[in-house]
Amino acid sequence: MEPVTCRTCESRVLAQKNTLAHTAIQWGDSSRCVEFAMAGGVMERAMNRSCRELRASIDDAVRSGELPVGPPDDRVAQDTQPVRFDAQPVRHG
Amino acid sequence: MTATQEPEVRTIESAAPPVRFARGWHCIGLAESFRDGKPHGIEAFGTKLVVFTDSEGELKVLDSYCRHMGGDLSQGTTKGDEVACPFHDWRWGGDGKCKRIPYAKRVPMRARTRTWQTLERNDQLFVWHDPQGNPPPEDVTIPEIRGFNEGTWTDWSWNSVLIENSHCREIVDNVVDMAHFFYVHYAFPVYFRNVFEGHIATQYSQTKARADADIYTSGEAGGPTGPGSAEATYFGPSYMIDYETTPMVFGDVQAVLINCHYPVSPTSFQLQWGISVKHPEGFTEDQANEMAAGFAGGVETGFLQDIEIWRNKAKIDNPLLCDEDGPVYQLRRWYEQFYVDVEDVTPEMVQRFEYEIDVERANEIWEKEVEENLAAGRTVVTAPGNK
Repeated sequence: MEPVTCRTCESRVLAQKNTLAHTAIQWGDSSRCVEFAMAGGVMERAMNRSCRELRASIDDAVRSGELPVGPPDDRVAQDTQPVRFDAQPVRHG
Repeated sequence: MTATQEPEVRTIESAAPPVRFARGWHCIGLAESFRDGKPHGIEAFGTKLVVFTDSEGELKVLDSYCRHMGGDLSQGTTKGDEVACPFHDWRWGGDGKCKRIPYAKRVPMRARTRTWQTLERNDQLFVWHDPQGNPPPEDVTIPEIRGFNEGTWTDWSWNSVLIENSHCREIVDNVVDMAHFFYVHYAFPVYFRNVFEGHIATQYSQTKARADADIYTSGEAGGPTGPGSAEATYFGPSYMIDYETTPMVFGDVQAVLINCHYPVSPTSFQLQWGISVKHPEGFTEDQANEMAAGFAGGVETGFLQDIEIWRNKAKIDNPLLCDEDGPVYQLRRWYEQFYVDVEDVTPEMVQRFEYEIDVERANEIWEKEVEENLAAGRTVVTAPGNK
């Protein structure tokens, strides 16, 4: 994934485009996003389908070549960390 | 050629399912179903709960096993504001305190049992589960269903089934599983997007009916005229509200599907689903109910198809994915937040993540498959509504 900065709020995200139609976006802090801020609390922010400004910024990054379009070299290698949930002992409060 | 150039055989990794249960609000059924004046037993979270109404009609939930000698309160009776144990008639209040022991001079000091915090929302009853014993944070709640106060909606059609030998992660995986809709549910996704943030995970999709499958037609209403859209959101680990809009000849049909579960044991869960349909304009109540029944039948068929897969599949912690698959690992990372202590929730588990699948390639292949089936006169499934 490559860093992309939003042209409006300057939020930095990591983005991946396997194809033009595919998009993956990993946000860090989403609280700067102007569109999401208008939405309200965490519930409203989470229910926001996407930020148009960030979408446009990613499209810009694709056009300028900053964000390459193509499948990751080895998706399997990226994703092989099993998520097992078994690391935590039960604690009763 | 030597065998060394062959890729290694992929091994399925699978740890034992977690022994703890998810932190969050869990729907245990329609609130009305507990209001018959009797105590009700719910096997959940590795124990048994008792649900009863006090004299004000408020629903209360306690551990069902009496702290006296272990009697099952859900087999007892409601007496005034209390639930009475069938074993020795000890009376337990909704606050968890033993109020009275009819045959004793006084109640022992430590006669206190576990209470479960409740919430009534959308005609349903929820209990809060947290292994650490903390109350729910203010912003972690179950929202009211949008649009329910406009127009007339059918009563909930509600169903429940116990799934054994499966962890509830299996059903949560469906949030990102685009391709299974085609193969398991005979639906045809033409758009698929996920967003996870905080304790919320959403699937946005557009799905058309497979032309070689006859599953959506029911009664006089006919089938959909184009792709339906769905916005399906988990609010926490176990309660999903799915807003579905289906275009029909007479206009869009709005339906709300609830897909929820609560764990019974580390390897079983009670799956529940409910459906309510907004009365289309010009429909009589009977027509609306008939259409809702058709929808409910379709949803039930869908869950039965999932259940058949779960019954036979292996638990897999390291799925092998292709580019057309959804973000299974990121979804599981999100889901893990409910299985760790709240102070161990990492930023990655709750930070916003968005994923949109490129469905073009899959759609091309699927169109071809459907066409071939139609040409060969093959129908892949019979409509439940047409039985």
